[in-house]
Amino acid sequence: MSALKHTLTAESQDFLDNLRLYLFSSGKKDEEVKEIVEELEDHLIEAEKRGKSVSHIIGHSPKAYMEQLSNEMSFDFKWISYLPIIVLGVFAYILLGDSMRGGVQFTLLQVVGYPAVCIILVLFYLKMFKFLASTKLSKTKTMITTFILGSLPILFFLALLFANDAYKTPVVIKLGATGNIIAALVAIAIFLGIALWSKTWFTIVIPTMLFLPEFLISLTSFEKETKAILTISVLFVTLIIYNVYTFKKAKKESRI
Amino acid sequence: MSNTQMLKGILDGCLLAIINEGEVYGYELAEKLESYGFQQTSEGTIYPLLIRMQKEELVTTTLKKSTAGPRRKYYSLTPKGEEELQAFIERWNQLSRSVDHILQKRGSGK
Repeated sequence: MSALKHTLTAESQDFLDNLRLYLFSSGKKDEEVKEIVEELEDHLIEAEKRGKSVSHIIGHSPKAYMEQLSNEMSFDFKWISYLPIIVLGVFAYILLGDSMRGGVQFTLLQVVGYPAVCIILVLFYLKMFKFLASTKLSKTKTMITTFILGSLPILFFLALLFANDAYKTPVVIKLGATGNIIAALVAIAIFLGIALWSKTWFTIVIPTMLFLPEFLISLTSFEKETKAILTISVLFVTLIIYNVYTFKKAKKESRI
Repeated sequence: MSNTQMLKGILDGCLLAIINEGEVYGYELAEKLESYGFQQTSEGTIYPLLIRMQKEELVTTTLKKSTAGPRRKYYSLTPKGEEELQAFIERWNQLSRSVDHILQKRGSGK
């Protein structure tokens, strides 16, 4: 007979989740993060069985305790290599979209702007994750912060788009017909490369979902408007299917 | 001076001494510490110290399966940890002798 797994109280579970996020966004080594979270989980389970509260274990300031742990753990320089890879991923995404929609063309502002925006966003997100993990916000404040965080990339990229129209900078990259096909292939190669490197399907699934329907529809002989409507509806449906699928998968995994 | 400030450094030595009694895991260690009278520190305080002691190679860890819940990490002393424990005991004896001296002298002087 297997022993019944003790379930933690929401407060303890929250603390563990926040600790994981805090250490993750501080760039600590994966293995060390996993070890300490597991160790504290064990400790909290034992303590709760005996009716002790979370504050009895971690003291009165979760933030101070997270900092104490973080100070003893080593920084993983692997994280620095993630930045160029994220920039490369975004670049491939833009490249594929542009090459399909008839022409890769970058101005100086875009060439500098895209990587800059990516790096600023990533650094900002890491800072915010750390802040959110160690600070208790009210429900409304959490919702507002999440909303702002979620819309930030769109805002940044839109701002870049408008800035590109407003300030004419010289075009530094402009590809012809062959160039565009090569660009598309390079983009696909980057997606495959990142998928292999990160051992996730993410960078294959998402671009396929976003671009494949559009590409296939563009090959048909429908009217321009019909094509546009088809593209958007197919995208909408695939996004819903994907969300339902990942949600179900996450639910299944959390049950194990 | 608060109790926690005074405890810093001493706690390290106490952890070494308890681990020296035999392999222990985190919760057990905290409980033993408490049973010796260290009630005022929160139990989690030991983990940052344990991480550092592991980095300094004073302790080694082995992971073992537990009946319920996650894997359990057991601590034991390395030879370097045993040396550090001996050094701590000497430092402590000297310190406590000196403190005793001062306190007793003041007590008898009155």
